[in-house]
Amino acid sequence: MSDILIERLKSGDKAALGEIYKLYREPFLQFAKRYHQDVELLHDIYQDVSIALFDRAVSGKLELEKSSIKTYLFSMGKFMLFTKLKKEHPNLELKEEQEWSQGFYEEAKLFIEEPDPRVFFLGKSLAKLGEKCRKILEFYYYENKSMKEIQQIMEYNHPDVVKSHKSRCMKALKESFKHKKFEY
Amino acid sequence: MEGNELLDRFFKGKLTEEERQRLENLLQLDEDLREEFEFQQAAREAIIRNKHIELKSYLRDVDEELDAKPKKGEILPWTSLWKVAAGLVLVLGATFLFLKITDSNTDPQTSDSFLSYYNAYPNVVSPITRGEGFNPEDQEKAAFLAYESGNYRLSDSLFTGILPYQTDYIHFYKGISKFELGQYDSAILYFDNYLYSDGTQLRDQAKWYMALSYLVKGDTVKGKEEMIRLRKSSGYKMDEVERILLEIE
Repeated sequence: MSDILIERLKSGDKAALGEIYKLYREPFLQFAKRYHQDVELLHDIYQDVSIALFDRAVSGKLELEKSSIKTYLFSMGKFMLFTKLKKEHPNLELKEEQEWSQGFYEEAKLFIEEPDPRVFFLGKSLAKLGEKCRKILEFYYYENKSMKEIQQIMEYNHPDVVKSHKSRCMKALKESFKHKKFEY
Repeated sequence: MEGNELLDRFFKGKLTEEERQRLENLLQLDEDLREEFEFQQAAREAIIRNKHIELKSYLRDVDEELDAKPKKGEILPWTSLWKVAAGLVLVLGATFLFLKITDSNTDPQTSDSFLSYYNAYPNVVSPITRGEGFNPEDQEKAAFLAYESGNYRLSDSLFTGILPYQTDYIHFYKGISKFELGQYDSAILYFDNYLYSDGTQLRDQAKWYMALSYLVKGDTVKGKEEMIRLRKSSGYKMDEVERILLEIE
């Protein structure tokens, strides 16, 4: 795998994710079939673990080395598979139980746990915001970018303009949220 | 002002130990700041989850593209096909037995008797015309196609992709998919989400399936509570509700 591909991944390039996904799909499925036979579930897990890798790369949390990508996909994939199976079938005995670090759970949480109703409805409200708002918030909260970086990508005149845009978007989101009653 | 700056640094993962402690103190003292903090945390999670949905849909397309390409030497002779078919029957049989065994961990007798009241709710919201060309953009249609053909793992997965963009009833049908997969806790959560939503068409149904989920998973106390709530609010499934309540007594 080329360094350029890794750099593209870090910059949030979706196509780079697709390339890495293709590269390790068959080896991953072969590996995971040792633990479970449901191919559809294994595909699902492989998609999740690839997205978890992307999360790490774009948020700058991943010290990416060429060899570590495969190791990450396999070990995190196994963790996600075991955790999902355990959740669905609490009495299930899984061979090769091992100690997982808390870090694994933190990174896998959003793929394993269901969102609470507040998060669900915020997600819906987000989808109704304008494209610019969605992009700014995604750059800020998902890709961990600074106001200065967002200003450059989105070609605004000054970081302060981004800052005030972001406040307006969050305000709109908050408004939609205020009218929601979480009871029935 | 200081509080908001600390929040910004928190969400960027840049807090020093000293700043972290200062933020913790402020959060305890300042209710407005705490509210803002919780709101931003929930918003951040929603933003990441929406991004995940977008990426998942993209990777599903990559999968389709990969699987559409026939690989050399992959055509199996007829004799092998029979072996594959026989193997498949064995795997399906074993999976069925396995699921039967693992699902019967909580109060099997009661759960099974309540399960007899269950039928997957028909798709009454998104009519499908058979024989239409498949449009990959139309995920809702794909999800309901999977749902109607009983492929609940696929419908479950596809419903997730459209939750933020589509109408409230998706929560309800995702709940039914979860029920079919034996994931009763998740099912309850989605029926609950539907009831929190603005959806009106399927409220009684959501209450009915939520109550059933509790009963089938063995929680008769909550199940009874929800059945009573349903009885109070409407006459939906009146006979069944009465029979179940008698059974619980």
